[in-house]
Amino acid sequence: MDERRLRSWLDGELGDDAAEAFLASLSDAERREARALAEISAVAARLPKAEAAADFTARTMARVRTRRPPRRSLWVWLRAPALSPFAAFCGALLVAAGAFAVAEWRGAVALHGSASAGRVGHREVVTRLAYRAPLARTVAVAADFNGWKPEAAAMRRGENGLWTVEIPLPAGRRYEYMFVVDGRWVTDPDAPASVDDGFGGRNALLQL
Amino acid sequence: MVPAAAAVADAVRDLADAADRDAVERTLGGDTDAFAGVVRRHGNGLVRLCALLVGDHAIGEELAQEALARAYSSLGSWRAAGRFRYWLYRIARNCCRDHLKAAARAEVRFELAEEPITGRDPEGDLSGRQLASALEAEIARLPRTHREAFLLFHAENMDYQQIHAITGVSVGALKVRVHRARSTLRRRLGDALT
Repeated sequence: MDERRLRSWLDGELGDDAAEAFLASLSDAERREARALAEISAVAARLPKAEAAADFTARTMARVRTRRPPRRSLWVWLRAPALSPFAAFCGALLVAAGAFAVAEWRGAVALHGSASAGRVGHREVVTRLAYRAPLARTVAVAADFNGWKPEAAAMRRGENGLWTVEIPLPAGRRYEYMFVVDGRWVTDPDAPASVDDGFGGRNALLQL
Repeated sequence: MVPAAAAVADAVRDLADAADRDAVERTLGGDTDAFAGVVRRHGNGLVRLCALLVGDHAIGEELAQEALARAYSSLGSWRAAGRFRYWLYRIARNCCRDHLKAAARAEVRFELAEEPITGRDPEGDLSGRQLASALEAEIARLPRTHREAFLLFHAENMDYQQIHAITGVSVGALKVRVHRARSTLRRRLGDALT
């Protein structure tokens, strides 16, 4: 007997014609077996059904009142499909305020492609300078904050030839700097602004 | 179920669902009495479900009450995307499972004989009432997952999608469970059946 067809027949998934064809395809013994299985389903459907007692609602509500009152879950509320425009606006405002507070707290102010900063306290900012030079042997930063001495801020080679250095600097000021690559002075190509250095070159600007 | 009857049943369920959503909103707004509507609408169904799953009316009623009380406290976590009824039934099912696990730990399960039930009937032919009693006894011996699927499908008359919404078990697995339950019952009831 095709068990899948038998299951479909017992589950009531076959139409009248298909059910008749299925039964007709069975031997007498198989048909008896199929009907015995169907009888189990029929008897189960007629099993006595329990009913709640007359005072069920009153007793349940008495129990309910002893429980902690429900609170609206913020997560569910934010995900509600029927969120009103006003609620959505308030939610967006809340998220934006939170993001701003976090950004302010971390002082995560991206400056430009090659330099970024993290605030440490009110006065000092850890500034990260980066320069990609896969073939260079030494890279350093010469800047007004280190007296233009490249040896004071040697950079470390990282993956894919990315040289970096992190320097704590007083916040609220503007700095000028250059990279010194194998002894050659190079203006940061990713700096958003630069100024004339008075020697025919340009110093990159870093505003903290 | 014929298509027209199914459409009417769907419409009734939609109305009940709308009433549930309204009651949930009011309850969350601080009106505890609004939850009585939920208890009235689903009390009978939950008692029936729990009694079926644990095989005892009184315990079933107690578990249905507990399920409703738990649902009340957790109303805030209900995600309104699904039918409230299914969420409620899932809580009730979990209450029953907890109860059955605790009961299994508390007592040593008695061993029942494996022989067909007709072996105890000299006539080998049970009346309708006897057959129902024998079936109930054998259903109680089924593995929990098979018993649950069989009862929800045949005794509670839910379709596989509804059972899936409550249990989280895939429709394919549910079909196999129901069929295995039927086959086991068939084997154990032996000649008592047609």
